[in-house]
Amino acid sequence: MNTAAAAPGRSFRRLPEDIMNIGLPEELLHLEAVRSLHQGLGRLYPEVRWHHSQPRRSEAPEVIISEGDACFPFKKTIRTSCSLAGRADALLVPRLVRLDGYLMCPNFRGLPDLVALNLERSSSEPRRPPLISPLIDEQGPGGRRGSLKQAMEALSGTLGLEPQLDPALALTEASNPEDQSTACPGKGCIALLGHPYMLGDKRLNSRIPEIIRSRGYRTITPESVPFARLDRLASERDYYAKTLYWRFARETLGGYIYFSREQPVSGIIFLVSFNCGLDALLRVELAALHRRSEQPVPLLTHVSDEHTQQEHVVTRIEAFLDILDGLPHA
Amino acid sequence: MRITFPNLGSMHIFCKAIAKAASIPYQLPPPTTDETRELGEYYTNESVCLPLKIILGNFIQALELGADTIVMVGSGPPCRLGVYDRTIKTILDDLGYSYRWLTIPGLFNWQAFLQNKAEADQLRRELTPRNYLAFPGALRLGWKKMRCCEQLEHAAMRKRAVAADPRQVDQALKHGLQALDEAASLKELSTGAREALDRLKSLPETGYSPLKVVMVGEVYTVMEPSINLDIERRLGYLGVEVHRSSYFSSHIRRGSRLDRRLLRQREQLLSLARPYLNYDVGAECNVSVAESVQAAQEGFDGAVHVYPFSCMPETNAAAVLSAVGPEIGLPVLGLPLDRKDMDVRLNTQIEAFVDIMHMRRSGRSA
Repeated sequence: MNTAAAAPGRSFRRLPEDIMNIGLPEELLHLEAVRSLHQGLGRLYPEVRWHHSQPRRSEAPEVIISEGDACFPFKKTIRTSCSLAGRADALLVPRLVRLDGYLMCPNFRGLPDLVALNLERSSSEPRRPPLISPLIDEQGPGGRRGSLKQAMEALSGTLGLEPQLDPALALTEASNPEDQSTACPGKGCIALLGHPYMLGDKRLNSRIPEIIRSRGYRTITPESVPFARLDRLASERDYYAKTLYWRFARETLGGYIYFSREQPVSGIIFLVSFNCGLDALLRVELAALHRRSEQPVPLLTHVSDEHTQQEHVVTRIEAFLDILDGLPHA
Repeated sequence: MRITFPNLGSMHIFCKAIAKAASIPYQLPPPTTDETRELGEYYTNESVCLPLKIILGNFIQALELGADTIVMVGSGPPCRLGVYDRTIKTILDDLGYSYRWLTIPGLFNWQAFLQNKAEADQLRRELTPRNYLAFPGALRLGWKKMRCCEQLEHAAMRKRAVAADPRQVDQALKHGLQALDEAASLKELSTGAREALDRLKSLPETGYSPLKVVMVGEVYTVMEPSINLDIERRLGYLGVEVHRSSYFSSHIRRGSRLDRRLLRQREQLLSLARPYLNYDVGAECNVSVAESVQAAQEGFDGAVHVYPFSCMPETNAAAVLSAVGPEIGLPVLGLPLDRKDMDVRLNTQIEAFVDIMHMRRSGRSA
C-alpha cells in the first residue's frame, strides 16, 4: 500500500499493521451524497479504516476559531472534524455545493476552509493530517457520477492509494439510495422533517425519534420518498422563476406537502436547530401552509437546542403526542 | 397604483425622484423605528435575519398608509436575500393585504425578467404614454441623485472624523440630503450637491490625523443606519474615518455587468481572500475577508465587520476574520446585529476598539 502524500514538516501516526486511517465527520454521513461517496471509497480502498465520531468528552477537540452565531450542527461538524484529525492519516471533509441540482446552505461551502483554519492554528502540531475536500457540485441528473468520480480521484491523488476495484463499478453501486418502507402500522406515523443530520444525529435531535417510537408511533422521514417526487410537490409553491433554491429546503417543503396530502400521517414534527437560516424561512412558509389547509395535519416545530434538559424535550413531545392520541384520526 | 420601497440608506431619495419624475404615485414607508422592527419580529421568528424583519415592517407600514405596489431589491442564491420576496409575500398574503410586487434584480438576466413578467404586464396596462415618455429622464435624474447622495455621505464620513464639532457635519449632511431630495432638475441637483459639499468642506477641523477603518459585511447592514445602529456616526464622533465600498451605484454597476473594469477589480480583490477561503461561500462573505486583507495592506487601523445575527455567509466571514485579523495585524470588530437594545454596549465596544487602534498606532501593544 502506498503511503499518504505528506506535506513537509508533518508527521503521521501509523498503526503497526500499516493501516490507513481516514476521518470523515459523522454529521456529514447523514447526507446521502456523502454516504455514497463513503461507500464507494470503501469499495475502492477496502484496506482503509474509517473514523467518524468524536472521542470521549475528556478528549474534546480544541477549536481555535470562534464559529460565532453559526448553527449547532455546523459547530458540531467542525469540532468532530478537528477531533478526528488527531487520530487519522487524512481527513475527508467534502465541500458540498449542490445536490440534485439545488444548492446547499453557504456553511457547507465554507466548512472545509474553517476546518483547515482550525487545524492550521491548532497547538497540537505537527500532528496535522492532510485535509481532502472534494467538490460535490451536482448540477444535473448525471451530476452524481461525475462529482463522485472527481472526489475519488482527488482522494486517490492526495493519498496515493491504488483503487482495488474498477471505479465505474464502485460508482454505480454507490449511487443506489437506501429504500425505506412508508407503511404505518400500530398507532400510526409521525413524519419528521428537517435536515438529514437533524433527523439522524441523536445529539442534534435530542433523541426525539426514540421518544416518539417509545410511545407506539412509527417515525417516517422524507428520505423514504424519492426526491424527484418531493421536488415536484415543492415546485407547486414556486412562482415565475422564484424557486426555493436550497436542496434540503425543497425536501422539507415537499415532505410537508407529501405527508399532509399524499400520504397523511398522524402528525408532523419539524426539527430545526436554532439560527438555521434556511429553516427560519421554511418555518414561515410551513406555518402559512398549515393555516391555509382545510384539514391540517398537526404540526410541531421543535427547535432542538433551545432546551437545556432532556426532560424538557420529553415533556414537549409527550404533550404533542397526547394531543394526537385525543384526535379521532390519530 | 401607488408604489412603495423599503428604507435602505438614501434609496428613498432616488426612488422617489424616479417615481415623481415619471408621474407615478408613491408612498414612502415611515422612518424605521422600534415599531417597524417589532412588526417584523412578530410575524417571523427568532432565526430570521434582521433585514427581513425591518423590510417586512416597512412594507406593512407603507401598505397601511395606502401603498399597493411594492418595489423590492432582489438578489440571487445562496443567500436568503434571494427569497426575501417569497417569504415576505407569504406573510403579507397571510395578513390579508392586497398588493403587487416588483423585484429589482441583483443580476440583469432572464431569470430577473421572468420574476417580474406577470406583474409587470399588469402594471404596464396602468401606465400612460406620459409615464413612458418621462421614464428615461426620470431614471437619469434618479441615477444622478443616487451618485450625489453617495458622494455626500462619503464626504461626511471623512469630515466627521476631523471636524471640530462633528454634530455640524450631521447637520450639513441632513440639509444636503434634503436639498438633493427636493431638486427637481439636473441643474438644481448639481447646484445642491456642490453647495452641500462646500458647506461640509468649510466646517472647522481639529487638525488631528484620524484613525481609518474599513466597514465590511452584509450589504443591507452596511448601508442602512437603522440596522447598523448608526455605526458610521458613532465611529466618526470618536475621530474615526470610515471607508466602505458598498454603495447602491457600485452594486448596480456590477449587477449590470457592463463595466468590465469593475468586474476585473472585483476578481483581483477576491483573490486576497483565497488563502483563507478556497471557494465562493456566497453573498459578500469572501468580499468581507478580501476587503479586510486589502485594508491591512493599505495601512488601515482596523476593520468593522457588521452583519445580521444568523446571516449564513457572514458567519463564515466572521470566523475567518477572527483568525485572520491577528495574523495580518488588523484589529477587527465583529458586530452581529439583531436587536436595538444593544445601544450602550455598542458604545462600550466601539470605545474599546478605538482605544486598541490608538494604542497600536502609538506603538504600544494592545
